[in-house]
Amino acid sequence: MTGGVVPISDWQLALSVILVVIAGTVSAVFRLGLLRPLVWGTVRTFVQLTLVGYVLTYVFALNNLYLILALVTLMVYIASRAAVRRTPNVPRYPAGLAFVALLASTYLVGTIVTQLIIAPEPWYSAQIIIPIFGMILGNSMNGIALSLDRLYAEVRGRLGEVETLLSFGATPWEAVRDSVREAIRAGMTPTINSLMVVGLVSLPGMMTGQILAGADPQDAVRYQIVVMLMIAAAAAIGCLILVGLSYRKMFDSDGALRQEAYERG
Amino acid sequence: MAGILEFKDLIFRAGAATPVISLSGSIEDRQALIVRGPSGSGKSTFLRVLARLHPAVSGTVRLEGQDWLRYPGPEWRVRLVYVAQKPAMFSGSVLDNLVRPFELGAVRRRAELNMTLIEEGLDRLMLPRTILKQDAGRLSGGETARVAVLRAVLVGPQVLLLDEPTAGLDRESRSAFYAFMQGWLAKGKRALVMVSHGEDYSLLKDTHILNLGVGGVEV
Repeated sequence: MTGGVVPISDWQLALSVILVVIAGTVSAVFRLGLLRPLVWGTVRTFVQLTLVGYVLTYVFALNNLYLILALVTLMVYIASRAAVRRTPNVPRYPAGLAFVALLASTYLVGTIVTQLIIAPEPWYSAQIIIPIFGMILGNSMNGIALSLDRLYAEVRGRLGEVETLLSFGATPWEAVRDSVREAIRAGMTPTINSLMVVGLVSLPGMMTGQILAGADPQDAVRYQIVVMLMIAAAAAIGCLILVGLSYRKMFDSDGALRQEAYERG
Repeated sequence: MAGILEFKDLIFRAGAATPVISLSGSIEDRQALIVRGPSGSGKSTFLRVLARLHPAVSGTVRLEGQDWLRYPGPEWRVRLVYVAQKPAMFSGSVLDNLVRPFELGAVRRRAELNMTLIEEGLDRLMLPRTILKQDAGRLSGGETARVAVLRAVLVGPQVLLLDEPTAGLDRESRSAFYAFMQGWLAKGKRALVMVSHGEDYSLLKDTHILNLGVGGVEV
């Protein structure tokens, strides 16, 4: 065991404003008009993270199962709303379906990781559950948004083909099967690619954090391996559920394509 | 006498801002209904409504006396096959395109892929047999139109809904196309609905005209 975290004092934290001044100078010299958002973003970073720090301290101390479940579910809800920004091709973003897909994939993969692999004491240790579920969520949010967006883009791009299949009596599933396949592939590809280069290009944030906190790099690596694999699994499950549920929404009850489903709203 | 295809008080809209169109009529066995009218009068939409690719506001359609709602959408559409004015080709060769519909459950329950029918159809439509190996994306407009009709005929529909199938054809291949369609109709228990601007449909034996104006008309 090596030494713990080197703490940052209030005074040291205040020094980080130097970094904002550097970024602000760049904006001012080149008249980028980013000064206001930069200042606002800096204030928000301080306030939001400080609040999260207090909340987490409280939640970790209390370590109440129901509070943890409520918090994770709230995180899923926020993530399912946030994913809409990454789906420009989807005219009516299915927030409800995204919530279901994220909830199912996060809880399933999170349970496997925390209970089967890490197995903390007590089994609902907030210190393990919340960061792990949060990491799953952040990554599968990107995955499901990519795959949903791709589904609509694919169907729009292959509209003639899809309509032709329908006119031959294809069921909705038969008509969009190729698009669904591409959509799921698009959602899973980034996480699979990251499995290839992890550690070579940059050190993953979680592992870096553990090393900064004084953990043995070899222990940090073990955690990171689990995290990488769980992210891949969560993206796969989330995309599968969301795309599987939402392709049907592009069709009416008669199995014909809804015009408003593929036209830009 | 009831026709093979009847439509009664069929009401639909071609677009959100256009007036409703109301149509009634029937088509006899082996007959061709020629749909005419100015552009924007809802000819294509009428064909798409019949195929249930576009929702009708109200009204019924009967196929051999059976109400259309007795069929699920896909089962109805495999009986009334719609061919768009600019038919989409699947990626791959012409043969791939002719085979592709047979991957669908609804088609497989009705018809079997028959190479003899394909070769006969190509001959009668004046398409060389070597076209089967060509990339479907590189066909000319006239070739695409005829391949699309052949692709539709192969799945064994009762009613073919063709949207301006002869637009890209020269005179010779037009006559071949009509001879092919007449041969198809002559086998019985089938009918053709076709949007056409020209007068050349007179090459078909038994035709009926449906003129679409503003608000729709009856035949």
